[in-house]
Amino acid sequence: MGSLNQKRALSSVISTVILSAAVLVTGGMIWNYANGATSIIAYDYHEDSMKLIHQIEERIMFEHITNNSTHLTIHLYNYGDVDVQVDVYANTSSTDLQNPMTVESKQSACAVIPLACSSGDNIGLKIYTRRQNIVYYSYIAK
Amino acid sequence: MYITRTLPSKKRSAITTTLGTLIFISIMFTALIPLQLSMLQTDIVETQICQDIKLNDNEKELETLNLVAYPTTTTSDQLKVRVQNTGTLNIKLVKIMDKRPVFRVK
Repeated sequence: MGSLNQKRALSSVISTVILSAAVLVTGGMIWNYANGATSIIAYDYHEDSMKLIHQIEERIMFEHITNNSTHLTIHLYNYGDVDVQVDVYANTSSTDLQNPMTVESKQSACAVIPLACSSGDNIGLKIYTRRQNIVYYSYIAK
Repeated sequence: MYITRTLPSKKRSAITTTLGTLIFISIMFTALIPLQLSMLQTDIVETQICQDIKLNDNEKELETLNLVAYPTTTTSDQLKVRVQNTGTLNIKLVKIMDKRPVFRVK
């Protein structure tokens, strides 16, 4: 009788150990997965928010424009807090050969667009930034 | 006639239940709560930056300046530039441009 009782106790202990081990292993896997997943979610959320903030922070303006009979010279000024990559267009088709050009924060840049224009011509200028902001300006050639 | 036998209830130690609960709590404290805090922090920073941008834009609209340029003497090739701030805000001049050169303001 004594040996029978001992066998029962041993199997009970073994089963408890196995069950506990299974719970620990499964729990560890879930914990690891949850940690990784939440880290990725937090990182992506932060990155997306920063992209949105940079898009909102972009500020660029036409500073000075001159022209001759063959070329249009456009000075841009980035008065925002982030660097901006821009494409400059005149009359929607003519563009600077340097496009896309980077204008650093609080810095000017110059775009030269080959465009035949005579005095009094109305030229539509557009700056497209790579973060999908657009600036318009209407220039009358001299 | 059926006889239902009831087995005597055994005392269980509930080790696995306790372990499961501990694991759940550890997941809560090491994964979910930091995620919530991180997202909350990002939202606060975003809101703060948006407010700063709005303020800057409003201040930019309120800026008004009068600028007069004249030669120092009748024969001089130098210009004297007088800038008057007619608005209510302090203005920091970054640069003054003539048609060609750019004069940085110190």
